[in-house]
Amino acid sequence: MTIEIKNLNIYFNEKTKLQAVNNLSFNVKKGEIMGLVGESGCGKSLTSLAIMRLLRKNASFSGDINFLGENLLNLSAKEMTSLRGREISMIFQEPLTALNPLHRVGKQIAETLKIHTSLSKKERKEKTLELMNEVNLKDLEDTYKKFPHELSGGQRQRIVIAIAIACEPQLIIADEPTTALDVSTQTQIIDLLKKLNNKKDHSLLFISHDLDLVGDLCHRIAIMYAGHIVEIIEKLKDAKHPYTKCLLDAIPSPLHKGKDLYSIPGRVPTLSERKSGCPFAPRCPMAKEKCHEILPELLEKKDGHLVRCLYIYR
Amino acid sequence: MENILEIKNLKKSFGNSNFFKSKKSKIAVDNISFEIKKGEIFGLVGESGCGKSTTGNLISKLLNIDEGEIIYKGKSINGLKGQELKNMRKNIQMIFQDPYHSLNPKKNIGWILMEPLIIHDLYSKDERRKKILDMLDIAGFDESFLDKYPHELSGGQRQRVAILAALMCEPDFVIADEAVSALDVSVQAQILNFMKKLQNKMGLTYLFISHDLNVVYYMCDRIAVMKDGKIIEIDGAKNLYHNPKHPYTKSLLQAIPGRSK
Amino acid sequence: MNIKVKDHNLIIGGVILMFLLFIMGVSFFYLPHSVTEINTKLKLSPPNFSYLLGTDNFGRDILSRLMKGSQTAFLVGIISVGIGSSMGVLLGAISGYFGGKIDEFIMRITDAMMAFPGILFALMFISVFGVGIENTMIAIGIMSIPTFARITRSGFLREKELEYIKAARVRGASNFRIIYHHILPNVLSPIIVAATMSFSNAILAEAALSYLGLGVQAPNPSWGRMLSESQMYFMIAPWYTLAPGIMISLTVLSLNMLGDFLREHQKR
Repeated sequence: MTIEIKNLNIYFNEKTKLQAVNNLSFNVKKGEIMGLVGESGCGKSLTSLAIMRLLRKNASFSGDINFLGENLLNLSAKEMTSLRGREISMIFQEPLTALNPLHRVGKQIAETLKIHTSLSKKERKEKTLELMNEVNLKDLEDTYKKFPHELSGGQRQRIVIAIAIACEPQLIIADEPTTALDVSTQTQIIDLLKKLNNKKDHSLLFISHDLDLVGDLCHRIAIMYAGHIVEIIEKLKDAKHPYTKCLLDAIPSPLHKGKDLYSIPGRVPTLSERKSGCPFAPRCPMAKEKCHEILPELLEKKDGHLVRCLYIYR
Repeated sequence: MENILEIKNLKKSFGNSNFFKSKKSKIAVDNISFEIKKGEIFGLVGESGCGKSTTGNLISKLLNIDEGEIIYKGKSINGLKGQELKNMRKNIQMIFQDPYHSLNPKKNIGWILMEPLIIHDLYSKDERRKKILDMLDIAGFDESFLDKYPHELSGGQRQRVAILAALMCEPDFVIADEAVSALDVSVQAQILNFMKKLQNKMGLTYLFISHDLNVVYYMCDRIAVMKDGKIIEIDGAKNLYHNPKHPYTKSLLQAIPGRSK
Repeated sequence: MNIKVKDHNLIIGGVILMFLLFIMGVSFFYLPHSVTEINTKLKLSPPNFSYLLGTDNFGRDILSRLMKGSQTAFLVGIISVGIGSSMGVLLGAISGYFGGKIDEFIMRITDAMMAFPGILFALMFISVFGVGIENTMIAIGIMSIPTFARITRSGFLREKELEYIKAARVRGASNFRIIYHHILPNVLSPIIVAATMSFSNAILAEAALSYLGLGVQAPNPSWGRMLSESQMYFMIAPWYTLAPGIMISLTVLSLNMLGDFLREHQKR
């Protein structure tokens, strides 16, 4: 187990204690690509920031985040800083803002090496070129000297990935890494991530709102809704939770041609609107009275398949 | 079915002419032609930078064309100015991508929906209010929405208001420029269903611009694929999806993740 | 907008300004003594029961003159900000909205205006058109045009590209409608902040010009004039200098604090 999150709660605002993430528990195994999927406001990005301890000051949290045996929430700021980039690294959505526009890209990769390793300047340059090759960049010497705005979106994202893998981390968190990219570039980046994961055996936590994408790439998928994980599955077609199924029915695919898409009534509740009971109950087509009162547990119903619902697999 | 819109040899490039040397111009739309039949949903799909949004802006006359012709219901709308241009705007409307910036934050929904009626001087004062309420009803909103401000609404609600605002003058032709791209999946479904409902109710023709092939395939009757300012392929949606002819179309379809494979 | 204890800018600035406005309000109806009556026997007397802040070198009541002076100060502030903001916003709106050559032209003019030291301009203006309160207000107003123009222009440049503007254009809205109904309401925030700051600058500028003898003319009271006239008596009658000095400081301070508060609480 590379990382195990237990009962993570994230709150905002000392006074009102609005809860953004509720009792979140999941784990990511070594070498596994774990998908964290949900719509905006579900808390998936917050979870990743919590792991990296990059939440804003007005957020408070509780729970355990066990990374390779150590609880990240107990580490000092200094220890955490040394961990970031070296053992856990992150790939963000928008490569243009993730890279410093004033520095050449090669230098930015080398900088990570400078911070976390004791390689000499020459060795750093060599390793950087090596990394750039691994992420399938071409014309290495030339590209090394370029500035971020001189590269395409796909190339920039590759640089970001190169920085992320530079120190051979155990865990990479990718937060919507392909959302800002074209469809064909997206495929290339996904293939790249697959290849790297195979080769290096790190764990990859892949956060996205795109169910189909995650279904393609990930070994396991955790679906979040309103701060809770509602289901963890290995294949999308095995999905049983009403929310997951509603989502699958709402996404246009060739199977839907000519029919109406399923439109989930209502909308995602804001932080202050969340009530007790199952978070999805107000909008669930299968909801019964009990659903509004009791928050179901996330239970393992079948091998590797966890569902948070009172009425599935009954 | 007759053509409601015909595009002929449309060209548009962007160059920089300033005090210093003008930079090399970029050709955004490179000699494209196509027709849209009345009542159909015509999809224009391609990756970013292919010129699809520019095409939409040219047809709605937010941008001026360099060369070519745009023919609406048999008449050219190229050189329209003044009152004629304003009249055209009653018939050709547009919906935009970003629900968070497509409504004036300082005006309430009632004002936003009233404005097109005032600009084009439609209906009497009493009829206007009724018309607005009727439109709100189609979207499932009640009278209380008139006093609300955009920041009080969710993304999906805002997009619905934006669509209503575009339809206040009962246009025949609506350009949807990435109208659902910035929305969550479940909201996207709502808006797509809403757009179809409106098409049936009001007899609209849509030009549906998007980078998302799945959405375009789902919504559209015919699809044109664009790349680097040119139209690569036009075909009926089902045909294009299952029997793509051009290698670029094939590669786009290949790149779609998931269940479509 | 909830007001918290931390908002000291609003509270302190607001209280001081209310106090000053109160004094000004009262001055329209009641003044303890005549503002212009000369009484040489009482000249330079220290604060006492009947003359709460003492008398000046002509035996005139300082408090009454101070109160009347507040009317001048606020009048100058309002008129000059009015001139500066209306012209400035208009120029900035046209410049920002239409862009191109118009924009370049207007911007070069405002650049030239900004490069010129404000007070110097006011001096030149007054020497050409004559002294007095009216020309003072106009000169100060003109000085503030570039600031308003720039702020308005940058607001327009920013908003112009947003989708609700494109939507308005596509609906058939005229340029005027877009400028007035759509963009202007959304750029008001920084303009209002600039107005508060300009107001306090105007008061300072008027004080400076009056100090130099160019603004408000005798025997009309103006804080700046009072400062100037009191200078030579400072050692023997400090209250004469302190009174207008403190008034100017308090007014400028309160306006700046309010301006800071508004700036911190701007949306976007």
